[in-house]
Amino acid sequence: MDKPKLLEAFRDFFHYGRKEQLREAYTTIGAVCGAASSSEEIDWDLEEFTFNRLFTGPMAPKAPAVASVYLDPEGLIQGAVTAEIRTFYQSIGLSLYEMGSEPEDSLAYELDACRYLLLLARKVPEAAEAYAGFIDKHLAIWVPEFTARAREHCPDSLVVKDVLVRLSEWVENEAGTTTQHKETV
Amino acid sequence: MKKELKKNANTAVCPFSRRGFLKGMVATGVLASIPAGILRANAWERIHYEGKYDIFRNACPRNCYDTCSIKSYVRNGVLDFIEGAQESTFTDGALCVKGYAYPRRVYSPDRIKYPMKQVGRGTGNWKRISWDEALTEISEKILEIKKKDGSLLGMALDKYSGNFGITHYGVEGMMSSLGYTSRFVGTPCWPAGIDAQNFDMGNMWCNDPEDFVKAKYIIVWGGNPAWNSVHTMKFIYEAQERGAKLVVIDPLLTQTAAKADLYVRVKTSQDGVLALGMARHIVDKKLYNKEFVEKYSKGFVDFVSYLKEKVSVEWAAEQSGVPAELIRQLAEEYAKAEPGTIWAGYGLQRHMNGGANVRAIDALAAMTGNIGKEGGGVRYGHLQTWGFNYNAMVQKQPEGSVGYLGKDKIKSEFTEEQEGKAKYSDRTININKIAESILNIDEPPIRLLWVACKNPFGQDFDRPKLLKAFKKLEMVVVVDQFFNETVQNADIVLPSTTLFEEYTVNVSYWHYWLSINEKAIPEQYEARSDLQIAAMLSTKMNELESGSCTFPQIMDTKVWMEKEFNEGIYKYFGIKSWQDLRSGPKKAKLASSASWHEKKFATPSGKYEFSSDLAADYGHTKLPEYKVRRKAYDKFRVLTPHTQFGLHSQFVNIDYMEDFNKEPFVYINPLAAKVKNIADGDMVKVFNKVGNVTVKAKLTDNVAEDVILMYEAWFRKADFNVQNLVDDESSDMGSYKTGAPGVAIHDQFADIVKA
Repeated sequence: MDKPKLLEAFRDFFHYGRKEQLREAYTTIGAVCGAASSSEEIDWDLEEFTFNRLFTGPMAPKAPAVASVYLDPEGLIQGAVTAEIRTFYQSIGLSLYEMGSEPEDSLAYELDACRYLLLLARKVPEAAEAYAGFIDKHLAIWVPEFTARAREHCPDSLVVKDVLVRLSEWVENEAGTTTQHKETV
Repeated sequence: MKKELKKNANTAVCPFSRRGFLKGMVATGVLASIPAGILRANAWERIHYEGKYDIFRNACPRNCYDTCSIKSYVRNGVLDFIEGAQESTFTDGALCVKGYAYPRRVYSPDRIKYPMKQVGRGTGNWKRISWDEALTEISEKILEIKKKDGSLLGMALDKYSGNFGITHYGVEGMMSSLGYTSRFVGTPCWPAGIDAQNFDMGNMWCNDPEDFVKAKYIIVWGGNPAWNSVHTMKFIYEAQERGAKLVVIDPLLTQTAAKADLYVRVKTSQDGVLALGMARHIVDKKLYNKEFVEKYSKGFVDFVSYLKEKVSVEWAAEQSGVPAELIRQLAEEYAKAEPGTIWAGYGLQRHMNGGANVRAIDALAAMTGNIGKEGGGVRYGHLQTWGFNYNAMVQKQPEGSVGYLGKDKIKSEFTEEQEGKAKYSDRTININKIAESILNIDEPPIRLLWVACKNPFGQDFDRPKLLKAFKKLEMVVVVDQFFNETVQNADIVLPSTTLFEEYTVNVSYWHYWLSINEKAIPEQYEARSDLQIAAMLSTKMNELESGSCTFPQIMDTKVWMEKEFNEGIYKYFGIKSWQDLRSGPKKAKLASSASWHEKKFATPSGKYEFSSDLAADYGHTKLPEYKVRRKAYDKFRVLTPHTQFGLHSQFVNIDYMEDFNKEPFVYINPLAAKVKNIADGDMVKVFNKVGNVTVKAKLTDNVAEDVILMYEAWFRKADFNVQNLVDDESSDMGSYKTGAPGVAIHDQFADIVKA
């Protein structure tokens, strides 16, 4: 499996939020993982409306795709959790293009950081450790709650629901793999 | 959104080893080999702060007496916390419960983040669109209207006080820069009282609130500052500690009333009767101030004749519900106080006789010689500090623009009347009759409505009619920070910045401090300020049709802010430049803390006018006479005042506020509830000719038997809107200074049954 490509597709799915990008990202996810819903069955407008209801707005999103909402004791965005992720990004040489304009612990940015670390690990072995830590001690902790909450609110969706399941499985698998790797070591 | 702290420490944050990863990575040059992502790859280990903050100056722009001066603490581009500025003796280092929640509001996950388009108004089916797409669609509609109607009168602006930053008058400027348009003018807030004070004194001008400490007798009449002007309360408490008596006159036993030495329950909208009864007793006891009435007033003899002929204390007692003995006591205590002061709240003028109520109270203050005295006065508001350039507001229509041929003039209580020499004008429409106007106005009809700094569905009247009116509109554009019922009924929503994301300047209509508002953090997501939106719209309009919009395409809000200052402002506040405000807010250099301290009034006679010809010109009585209140049209009077935890719909949706203000209630007196077989906690239906609401009942004798109370606010988790019970009946005054009469918000009636 081309993990960086999958991460890129997950990232784009959650970052752009428009049906053209949703479709493109979903096609890639299907190509990498297999068994995606067939495009004839999909109402892409409905998927886009669902996506916005869950993650974007303008109504209060049902399941904001930001780690702080699930990890901070008061759900505070741009608090300690965001600061921790910002510092982590800094330690691996990443930052937002404009600091303070969006929380660094938004799902799409975290997936981008994962993708970056995976690619980097091919040349810098320590990056694998950073990747494993980021998955085990961060993404694996908040993503399950996030995907569960989101899935409660998308009964009519094929794509969004499917991507949430796949994301959840991916995080679970990666966390399992890295744990197994550590135990072996 | 609050949740229990998880026991596993690992889950609270992400406990990586933050340092030591990937040392030497940059030196190896591997970064360049990785395809670019949505994050920026930097030289790693960037400098970050260790406890150090950048400090910015901000000012709360909400429509609130207090207009707090704020100090904001920013680290890594993030607003960590704020506090009240210590430099202002009014704000004095503290904020209100809403103000302290600002960081929570700025970073709420519920903020509107991107321009969005609704596919089918009210469907909840939203698509994210780019700014370019949004502005193209809007611009094409504007050009279509101009082509179809030959003018832009089919485009209307509904804007009021959601953001009082001076540069936000650029929204009006944006409209002018497009052509002659339709404008909703007037104010739902305080117009009847403004006219009343202008008829009596020639202007609305109140004492410095900090001089409450000099008062010996304080009457808070129809206001609840313990909730709505918390900073003023400390001066009132100080006055109490120095021996002043605090009297609260209100139909409701408010939090302020709970702090008072004496609470007087008056029948709703009979405040004027009570004041006239007190005036009559003061005349009978010859307690009026001879020097003031003889030297500085006009028409006092006529007023005395009126009182003797038409008013008795017993009649006033019967009409107002305040016992005659208490009226006499109040009158004597107030008249003998050296000085006595009255705070005339906005609640008492939201009636069909509201302006008359304020004039009667003004008369009480004048006849006792309390006007012009430090620690005295009749305090309603002022606009002494608002002498800005309004540079953003004053824009020229494009060459060849066609407009309204009537004699409409834009009036606003905050700015000078706009009366140009142009052949055409904008078409003005009463802001308090928005639903009625949209439904009835044609030639041309309102096709495109632009809503900024306002939530008409949360605040305007006769919601069912407004819903019908919105269906007639071809396009609705709303600029806002959070989703609300107006956004729900929009086609396009544009995300706007908070005060921390833009430059502007703020003053108060109550205190005398001037504060700069600096951009402390970046615009969140794709939010833009009203000015930036106007500039971007101008760019797009000119791209589609050259010369179709004159608004300067300046995106830097600091540039706009600088243009608002002038020598008059600098002199009044004793500063050399706006830069001086970076070290803290500045107070106006006042010759006295008292308004009208020279006893030179701005009326035609130059005196306080108990008898006003100008009032007569506007269809009112010359004297501050009794005016019959609105006849009840249902069983209970419905009061819908402001809540403690919001400002209209602002803040009410923030989870910190919801912790205290979980759900709406209707408050009903236990005796009335018993008759209706309603128990505490029952769900009830409140209904009248306008509509109905279903809400939980709370029994309290804080309200009278004939009154039911619901706080005006939008609850995001409940289908609750008090505007389902409020019609758009006008108050008696407001046209003279604000262009349209106010609304009889508290002259509403309804029945109640168990749901």
